[in-house]
Amino acid sequence: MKRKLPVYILIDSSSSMTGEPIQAVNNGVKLLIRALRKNPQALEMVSLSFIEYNSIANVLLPMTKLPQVQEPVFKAEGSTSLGAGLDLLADSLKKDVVMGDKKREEKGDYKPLVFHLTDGYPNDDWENALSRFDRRRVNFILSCGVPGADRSVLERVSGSPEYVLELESASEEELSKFFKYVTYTIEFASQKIPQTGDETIAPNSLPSFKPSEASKDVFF
Amino acid sequence: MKIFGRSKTMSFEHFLKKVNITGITIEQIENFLNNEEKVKMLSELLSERKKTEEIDDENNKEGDNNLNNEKEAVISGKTKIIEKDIILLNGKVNQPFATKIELPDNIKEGVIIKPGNSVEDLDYDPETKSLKFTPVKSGDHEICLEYTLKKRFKLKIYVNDDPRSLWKDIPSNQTDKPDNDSGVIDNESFRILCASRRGRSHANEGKQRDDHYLMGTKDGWAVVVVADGAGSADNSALGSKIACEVALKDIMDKLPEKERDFTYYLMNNSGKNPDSKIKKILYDVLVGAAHTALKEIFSIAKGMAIPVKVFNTTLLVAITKRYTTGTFVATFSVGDGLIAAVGDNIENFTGISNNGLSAARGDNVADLLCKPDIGKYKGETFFINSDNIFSSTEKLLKRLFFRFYEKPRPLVLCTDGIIDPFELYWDEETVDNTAFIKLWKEIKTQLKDSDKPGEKLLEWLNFYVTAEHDDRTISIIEYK
Repeated sequence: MKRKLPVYILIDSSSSMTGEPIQAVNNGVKLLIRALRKNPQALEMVSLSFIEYNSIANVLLPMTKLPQVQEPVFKAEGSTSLGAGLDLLADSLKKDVVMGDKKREEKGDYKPLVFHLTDGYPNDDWENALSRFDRRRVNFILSCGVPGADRSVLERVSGSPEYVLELESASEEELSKFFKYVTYTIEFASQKIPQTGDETIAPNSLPSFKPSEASKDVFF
Repeated sequence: MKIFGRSKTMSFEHFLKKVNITGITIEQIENFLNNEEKVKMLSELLSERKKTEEIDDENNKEGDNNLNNEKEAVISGKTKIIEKDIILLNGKVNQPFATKIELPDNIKEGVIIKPGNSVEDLDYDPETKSLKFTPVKSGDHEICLEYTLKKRFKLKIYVNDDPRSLWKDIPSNQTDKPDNDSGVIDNESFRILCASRRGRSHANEGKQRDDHYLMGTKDGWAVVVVADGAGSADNSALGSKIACEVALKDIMDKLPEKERDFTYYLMNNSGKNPDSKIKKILYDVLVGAAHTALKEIFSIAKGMAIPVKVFNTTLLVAITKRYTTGTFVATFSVGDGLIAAVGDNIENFTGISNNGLSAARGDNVADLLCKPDIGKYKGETFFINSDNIFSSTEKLLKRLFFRFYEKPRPLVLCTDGIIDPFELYWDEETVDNTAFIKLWKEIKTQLKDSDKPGEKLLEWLNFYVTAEHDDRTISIIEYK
């Protein structure tokens, strides 16, 4: 069973994104898809899903293998329901991602990557949605803000300042940087699985062997 | 005149073509042209055409997402026809493509298709409405399907490259090891084959092979170590190498001094019931070797002033010796590699259950001599410096396996670069029979009558499995 690397792109398509910003998003999405299509590792492994949120949240493209992806088009309108976006992302993760079956020891999908773009302060009950969101189901959420976005919101969504990007403007040029970054990260992740939580401690000495412990175990 | 009945737009050239179909003669046309009525008719026609243009302009204003619009296209000079875009599903180079194109008004004849030079074997059957072709070039392409003189479909398709054609093979700087390696030890006791191949995903980027192996024999013992450097770690190519070199040397140094203990144990216990003495020996030799390797990595990392985790690596260790009373095998492992002993029932095995796994130990073609560390997500595993590995004796003992076989069994060690493409899943103490048999048979076929088995094995490791492009390492220990 061929396992995929699921990638979610979560976009704020509220009315403040009207005009150049949303146009730049659409162009960026085209760039991203076209670049990934030339990478053999991505073609064989990556699946993409685009989720937008404005007054409501909506799956613009359900999780689709890269070769089958046709570029979705975003339109800007409405308010900024980040909470709805997070809830929809959580539902999608449960539906789309295959996890390893402990009993049969079958391997699951790669841990999903999430890229998030916003230009404003959310105006729904996003904090509750965030507290419900199970971060263990994703490798990371990379949040990108254009002017208007609140850095503290981005940091809370991403869980760490390391995974927050800020663009200088919502121009074509700046947004294409974001999408190039997304492309690069996906390509990088598809050849090097980012591992998290590998703590290391200096090994002083091997824990001593206690005969009593040994006799508890049966190898046969 | 009814000939103009259904059409909204028609150029004179088209009109002439059309009349040939409907059976009206040129003479009749010329007569008509000299008629005053005709002038009136033409003006009406022109004004109708203008109205259509306005409607189409309106439609086109709605936005570029309105893809199934009918619009006018200028095809040659002043000629205009109605054109409708149809977006097809994506295709793939050299992969036959089929779709259904519904023509209006039950049109079955006179369909003209202009494929351009990007597709071959184009065929359209108006009866079944089935359109078939094979794209030969990647990218965005268009196929024009004219189904009357005045209307056509513009079929738009994006054609994917075949991923196989996109892989690059860029040699790495080979600082720590060659990109591909193989070796054979062939003596009076053993034939040991090892092969390790850099995966396509590393070759595409000119990166080093992260996998590593080492083998050795001494005083009737065979020792093999295999390590898989973490993909996410920058220096894991070096990490896996250090782990193998230090572990192997440590084992080779300790084995002679333990020989008496081994022999004593095997003579007295016949290998049937493990006792704490043999475990203690194995703990010192095998777990001790892994621990020594880890200490060395820490020391090197400190010397280079870089974090230990850049050397992250898994480790598989197997030692074996054949005695008169039987064959002793012991293993220790950390990570997602596999160690298994091949049963002698593998050649004649018929008892394969639906999913390839069977409940009873006796039905297994391979005895699993490790418990691979895997997480819920692909690629998740532990490394020798993961903090829970050396934290307690109890945990470490769970990674220690040993057997005393009446008859010697070939041993196989491999990294997940082989496990995943062959889907070598396991259940408690057994490896998936169907998958393991497939792997073993392929290897045997490759090695048959080969005078360079190491090289042959290495060449075989280049097999292509979609989405499985990790480094691949395998070692096979056989007894003479």
